[in-house]
Parts: sequence; C-alpha cells; structure tokens
Amino acid sequence: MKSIVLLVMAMTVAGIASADDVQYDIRVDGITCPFCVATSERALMKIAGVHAVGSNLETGTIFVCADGEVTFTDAQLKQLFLDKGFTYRSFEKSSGCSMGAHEHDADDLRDIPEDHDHDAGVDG
Amino acid sequence: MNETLFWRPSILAMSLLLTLWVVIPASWAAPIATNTALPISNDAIIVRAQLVATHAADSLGGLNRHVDRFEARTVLGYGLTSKLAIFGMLPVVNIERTIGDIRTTDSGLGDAALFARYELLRSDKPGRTFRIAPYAGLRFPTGKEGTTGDGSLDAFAGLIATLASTQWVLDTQLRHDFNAESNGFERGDATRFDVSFQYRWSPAKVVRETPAFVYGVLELSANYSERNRISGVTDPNSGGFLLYLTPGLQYAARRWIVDFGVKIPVLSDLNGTALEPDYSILTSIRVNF
Repeated sequence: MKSIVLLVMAMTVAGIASADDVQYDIRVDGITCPFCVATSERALMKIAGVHAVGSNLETGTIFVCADGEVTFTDAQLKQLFLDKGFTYRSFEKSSGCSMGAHEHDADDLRDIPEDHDHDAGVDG
Repeated sequence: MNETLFWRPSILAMSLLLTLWVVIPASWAAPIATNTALPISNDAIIVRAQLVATHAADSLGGLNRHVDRFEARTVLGYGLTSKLAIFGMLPVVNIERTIGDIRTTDSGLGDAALFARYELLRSDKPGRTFRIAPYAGLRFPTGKEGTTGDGSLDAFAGLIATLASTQWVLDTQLRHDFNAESNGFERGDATRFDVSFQYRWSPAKVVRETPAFVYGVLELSANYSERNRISGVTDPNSGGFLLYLTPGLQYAARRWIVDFGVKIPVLSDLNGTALEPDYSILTSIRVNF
C-alpha cells in the first residue's frame, strides 16, 4: 500500500514538472510561521516560469520549482527577501523538481557538521 | 433630581473605564492583546477585525453599577518598506451603563488611531528571529466626546521586542500614552508593560508544507494610569494600577490568523471608587494581502 502511495506521489510530481524544470532550494533566515512565509511564497509565484513554491519552516528553506530558463541570482533573492522582511542566505539549484522531498528533516540536520552546510555566504 | 448632577460622579468613573479600555491595544500581529515587532512586508497589507467585549459591575454604597462595552475594531497595516509600517485603527463602540435604575446607551465611532512602527534591530537565524521596533502615533478625537471618545488629540509611543522561533514567540512591549485636555477634561497619562508568550501546540513537529500552527497564548499586561483632571482639578476616583492576565488560543494559517482570549484583571489598585473591569473577551481575524 505504501509503495502505491509513493508511486502515485511520484507520478503526480512528474505530472507537474517536466524534465527541463529546475528546483531552487533557497535558505532564508527569520521565517518562523506559516503566516510569515506566505508573502514570500506569493512573490516567488509571481515570477514568470515559476510553477510551484513550498517551504520547510524548521530548516528555513523555500523550494521553488521553475522552468529551466528561470535564473535566480544572489542579488535578486537578497532584495526579494529584504523586501519581505527576512534575511536571504543562499540557494542551491538542481535539475528536476522534488519540492523538498530530498531535504533532510530538522532532526537530521542537527547531526550535520557546520562546514557541511552549503552556504554561499551572502548575508542579508 | 437633576440628572446632569446625578451623572457627574458617574461620568468620572466612566471616564476612567474609558481610559482603561482605550489603552487595550488593537494588536495587529501575532499576539492577542499585545504588539509584535514581526515584519509587514514591503507593499503588503494586513487587515484585522477585532471584537472586544468588556464587562464591569459592582455595588457602591448599595448602588449597583454595571457597564458593558462592546468594541469592533478594524485595523489596517501597510508596509511602506520592509522596516517601516503604518497602521490605522478605527473602532466602533457600544457602551451600556447602568447605575441604580438609570440606564444609558452610547454607540458610534470611537477614537481612531494612526501610528508608525520602525524596525530598529533585526537578527535572523534559520527558523528564528529577534527584532526590536519602536513606534509612535496619534489618537484622534473621532468618537463622541464624553461617551465613545474623550475629545482630545493624544499621542503615544512604545518599544516592542520580539523573540520568535518556530516553536514559540515572546513579545514584550513598553508603551506610554501622553493624553491631552479637551473641554476641561484631561485623561491621565498611562504607561503599560506587556509580555506575550505563544507556544506552538500543533503540529508537534514542523514538517514540509505545514499549513498552520495552533498556539497556546498567555499574556501579562501591567497598566498604570495617572489621575484624570477636570477643569484643572485632579479626580481622586480615577487612575491607578491594573494587572491583566490573558490566556488564549490562536490559529495561524498562511493567509489568515484567528485568535480568542479572555483578559482578566488579576491585581487591581485603582484610586477611589473607580469601577474595575471584571473581564474582557477578545477575538479577531487578520488577513495578509
């Protein structure tokens, strides 16, 4: 039964994300509640080519699924989150969209040494 | 009996009640009856509709006094920048007063307020933040003088500090109201200190795409008011100290927050024969646009 559910979820993700899609995992500090993150998610959704936006509040990560031609820069994201009242840290870009399915849970992250945490070093 | 004369001491007591209740803030963010330093995004709008029902009753020398005040507040917050936000609050008030066999009802606009809040300090970490924000504003005499408003243009200023994580939020506020005189009546200046603690009850663990938080809320509010002055004479039955406790619940979703709380005076040291509030019931919804 669990395998069927996972298969359906995978098919669903595949249905909304094409092979050319990319995912941005954006690290943002200072977001503490669903109400707080909503304006940032809406701002990202307004960007042309962005299909879906999600978040993990515990790790301070916002996931963006977008067309392959969508390109973010540190300066662009820093300004976007500054306008929202939060502190942009870094992003990672990957092929395909899993919307955070590969992301570690907060408990897992506590075991990761500091220097394994990929941070572009962009302060807000 | 000359009704005007009969009501005169009562009006003083009511003025004190007005003083105490007007300083209950129209809060516009996370807590129920306190302010927060959490941000309003640049160009974002938050609208809050809040209902406050307050009851007070006692017996003074065999004369029963009874006041029920119902207030519907509309609060609009707008982010001019990510650090600077402006807020407007417009209350509609209904007050029923009973003293002995005499009962009066007043209703209409209360005193509107307009103020600005600026984020002075921000320290962000993953899933947590610390912010300090001073604010200052004016309260306008939009209410009916002597009933739903006090007729004067008053100023207020405060400082908010907020420490928040995904598990809990702590808001503290220090505020002072500089009240002016109008037609011989000058409400005493007021100072208050608030602490609000919100603890996430549900979900037990934050996971990806958590749609909403349920917080248990506990707020403590210490209020001190100086005595009112009428035609330059200090009113001995006004001013004093009140300590309130407000337990409550809050549901915070992505676009809206609803909350409910009961504000109870737990320590009272009011001057003279001023009528003490028994409790206030507060509920609100706020929407993020």
